[in-house]
Amino acid sequence: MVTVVVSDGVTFTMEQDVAFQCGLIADFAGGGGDQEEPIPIQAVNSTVMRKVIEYCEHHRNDPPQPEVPEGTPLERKDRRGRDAWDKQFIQVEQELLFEIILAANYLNIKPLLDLGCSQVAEMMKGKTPAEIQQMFNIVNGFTADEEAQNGEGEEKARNLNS
Amino acid sequence: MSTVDLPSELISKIAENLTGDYKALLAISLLSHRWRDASRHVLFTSVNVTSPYRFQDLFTRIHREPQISPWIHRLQLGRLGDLTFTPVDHGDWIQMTIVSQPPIHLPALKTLQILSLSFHDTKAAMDAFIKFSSQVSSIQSLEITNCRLHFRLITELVAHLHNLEKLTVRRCRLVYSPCVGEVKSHWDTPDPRPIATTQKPRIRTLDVSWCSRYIVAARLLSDLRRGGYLKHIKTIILSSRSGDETFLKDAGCLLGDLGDGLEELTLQVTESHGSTGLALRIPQVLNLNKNSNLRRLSFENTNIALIHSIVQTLDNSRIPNITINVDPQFANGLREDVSEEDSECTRLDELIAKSEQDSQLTLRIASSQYLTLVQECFSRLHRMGLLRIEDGRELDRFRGAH
Repeated sequence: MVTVVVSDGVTFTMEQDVAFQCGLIADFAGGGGDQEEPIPIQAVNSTVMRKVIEYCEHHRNDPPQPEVPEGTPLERKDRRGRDAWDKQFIQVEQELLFEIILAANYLNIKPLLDLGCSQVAEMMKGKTPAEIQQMFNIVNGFTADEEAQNGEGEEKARNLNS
Repeated sequence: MSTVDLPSELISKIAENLTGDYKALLAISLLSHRWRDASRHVLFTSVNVTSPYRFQDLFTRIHREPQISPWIHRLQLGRLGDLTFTPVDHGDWIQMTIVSQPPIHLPALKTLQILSLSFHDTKAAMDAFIKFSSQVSSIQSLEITNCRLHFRLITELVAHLHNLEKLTVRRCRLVYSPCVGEVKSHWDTPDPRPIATTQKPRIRTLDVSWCSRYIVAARLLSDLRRGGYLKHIKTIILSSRSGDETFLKDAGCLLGDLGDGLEELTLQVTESHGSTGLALRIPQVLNLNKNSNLRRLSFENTNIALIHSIVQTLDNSRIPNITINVDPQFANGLREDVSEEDSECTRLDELIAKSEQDSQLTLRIASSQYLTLVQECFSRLHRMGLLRIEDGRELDRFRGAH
């Protein structure tokens, strides 16, 4: 068994095959037997950690994903498909979604990171820049000149791929 | 919390999930400086160029902003349009731009697609493509679809792409002579010109399918074989629609050369004429009954007689997966091959009888005519547990019937 303590002081105990899906925990435990001391996970709170554990428990029997070389185009990567459970799992409030993404990145759980990022991408599809800015509270920050250039650049990029 | 709090590498990762969706990529590149900088490389991952202006613009942009070039993984020249044997656009603009512009270097380019273009001036096209090949030598996949071009343009281009792993020549009108009545040139000589390349490509997947003028397609196979570019091949997709014996003979010779190395073979031979020789040769040259490494044998829109001829001579236990895939557009052709429905069923019956328990016969069927024809036989397969249905419009009907 592996025990972790998260930022708000809550302790979680997991079986090794669940815990070791987190690259960070696997590295911390050194791949050895039961961990006596709780592993501190300061960047993740208990709400997010519960979701992470739920994901890892569901996928505990999945075969390991093959390593994909850096720079491989996304369409060629052998990514884990989003099954119905994954789709349901990731339907969460926006704030929790970004916390899950950050946690997956910190804990080094690549499939969960991929799932979170693809969910954000799905939410952005078919929307205008203004709609996305409003949805995700993104401040534009472009100057008037840059706005004009953006329009021109947009046209060029569209032409290039027309 | 909002996306503002995400580090750039995660924004970049979100953008990668939008690869190919230009509208969405453009939208996110206009969100903010951080989103623009983190997502811009994805916008250039795959570039489609369909006109002289766009191609020149690509060269100009890369000269002005060299950081773009390593972002480009896939380059498409031309527009696919309808799949006919009449390419709509002349390819002259490609060769003119390549020759007239200072060279660019695309170090990360993996896939080059040339679609629906017609190259009439073979010599000019060759000069341009050889020049271009040095700029795109990282290409692993070359796909030429629905183009009209001299077959030797392909073999000489291939010779300069030493990283090439996959060659697809599909639905092309392959030309042998530049034009009727023209003085014979080296393009018409039977042997390819010696090419001074230090490293040969190691093609692993070859797809020469649905090209018109199979006698020229046979020359292409022959040139690739003699050039030594196919020594490491694992997967081959070959097709013949006109039943040209020359093509099938050369295909047989090619398979003979490859011997035990081949892992996947897909045949698309719609008509039965001329296929018997291939059918008889395949088991022999591939040594399928002994040490073959063949893991998958697929028949796509292939006449039943050929399937039957091949399978009849096999010990199926050596091949873990046999796939039969039939598209509706070829259903009539298949029926033309069948003189009597009953006799065809009988042949399939024999095919099924030859199958062994450890084989997996996969049927992807999408034609009601074909389904009717073989329903009885495949239902037997189904009962035997040898049939795995993966796909097909008639799936529900099939299931309903059994």
